[in-house]
Amino acid sequence: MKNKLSQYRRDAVAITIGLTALVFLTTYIYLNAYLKSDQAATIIARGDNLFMSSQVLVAMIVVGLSIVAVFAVYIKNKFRGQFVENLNDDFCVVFEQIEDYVGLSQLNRFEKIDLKGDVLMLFLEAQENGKTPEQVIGDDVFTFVEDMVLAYGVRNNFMNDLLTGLQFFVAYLVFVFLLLFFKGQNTFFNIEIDYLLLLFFTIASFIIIPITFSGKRKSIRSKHKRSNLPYLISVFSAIVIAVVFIASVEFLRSRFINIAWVKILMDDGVVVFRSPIHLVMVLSIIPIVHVVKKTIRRPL
Amino acid sequence: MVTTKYYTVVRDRRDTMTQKTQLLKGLLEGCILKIVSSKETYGYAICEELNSNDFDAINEGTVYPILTRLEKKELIYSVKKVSPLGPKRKYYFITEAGQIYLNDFLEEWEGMKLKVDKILMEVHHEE
Repeated sequence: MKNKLSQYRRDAVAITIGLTALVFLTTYIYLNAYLKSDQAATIIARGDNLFMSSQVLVAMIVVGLSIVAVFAVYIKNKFRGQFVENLNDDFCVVFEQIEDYVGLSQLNRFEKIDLKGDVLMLFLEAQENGKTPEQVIGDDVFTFVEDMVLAYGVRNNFMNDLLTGLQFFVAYLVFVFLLLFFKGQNTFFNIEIDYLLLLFFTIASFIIIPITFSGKRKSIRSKHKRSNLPYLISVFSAIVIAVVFIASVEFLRSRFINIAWVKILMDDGVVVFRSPIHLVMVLSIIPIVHVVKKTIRRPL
Repeated sequence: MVTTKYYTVVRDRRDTMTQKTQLLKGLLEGCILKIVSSKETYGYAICEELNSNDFDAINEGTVYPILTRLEKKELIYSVKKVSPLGPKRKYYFITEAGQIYLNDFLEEWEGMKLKVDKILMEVHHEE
């Protein structure tokens, strides 16, 4: 049992060190580039405090939040290890299988934590009473997990994937706007995004993501021998779609650039966030969709 | 031809098994609601209680999904409390909707039991 404990703590420490290093490295590269930029030189020339400029402040906020997130991961791993360490090897192996299956399910993050907590508590109690994993959940781990997952409600996968795609679309959009903002070429509410990039996000969110999710589901459904083939095929399809998109764009650009809509698609862009209200409205799509996804589930 | 017949028999048997499982799950929902309504209890203890009442074939793998489903239907709710084993344990309580559902279940069960007993008795006398 000691080995298991130290293994979880080692994992937690390794992940924490890795993520912290990544955060500091990214910040160093960003700040190094920014401090050498013309914009920073202008601020220094004006005699303003460089560290109070919006770029540096936002970078500091990102670093702060990242550090908090890294420690949250550390604490989560540490406590998970503390409880899982009490399971004997038989239960531990089954619990890890269940964690894998649940991780691939379409439950949201809180439901996954809730489900795994229930199973962990069940296993600890069963072990305390001298039972084996087979006596508790039967021979087929997958059937047990599927029953547990279905107990949270049946989803329309197609609709659910589209809604998840919408959440990803918003996340991509905000991420790109933040990147463009960090590049410091404009104020946040004046940034234009290319129509082409919007089209790519639409394809990624509403076609590529549903395809990969569907592949994941097919993989997890192969009961006795979990095959990753459907998932690999879906990832391959996603890559093909992305390549076809890029090739099509290049083809249109080389042959049909004189057509008005092609020219607009290739060269023009649109300001999505014209004011803080627009930003809040777009960001609020993520939690609203989360609620809608929960609502459209049918109880069994 | 033989193969087709074999598969038909297997399919019919599987359908019967599914119906049996569904029937059992429906009955278990009622039994679990009754246990939860009578005292403050948790998943593992509910399973033990079912086992001690001759539901030998019922294991935790059957009971836990039912508890989650009942909770999602808002027929029961849970409160987490400290357990001696480490993680917090979920204790279940019946809701108002759960109590109504339980009363309906008990009423339906009584009616169904009478009908089934009647048929069984009549057939037995004819034999």
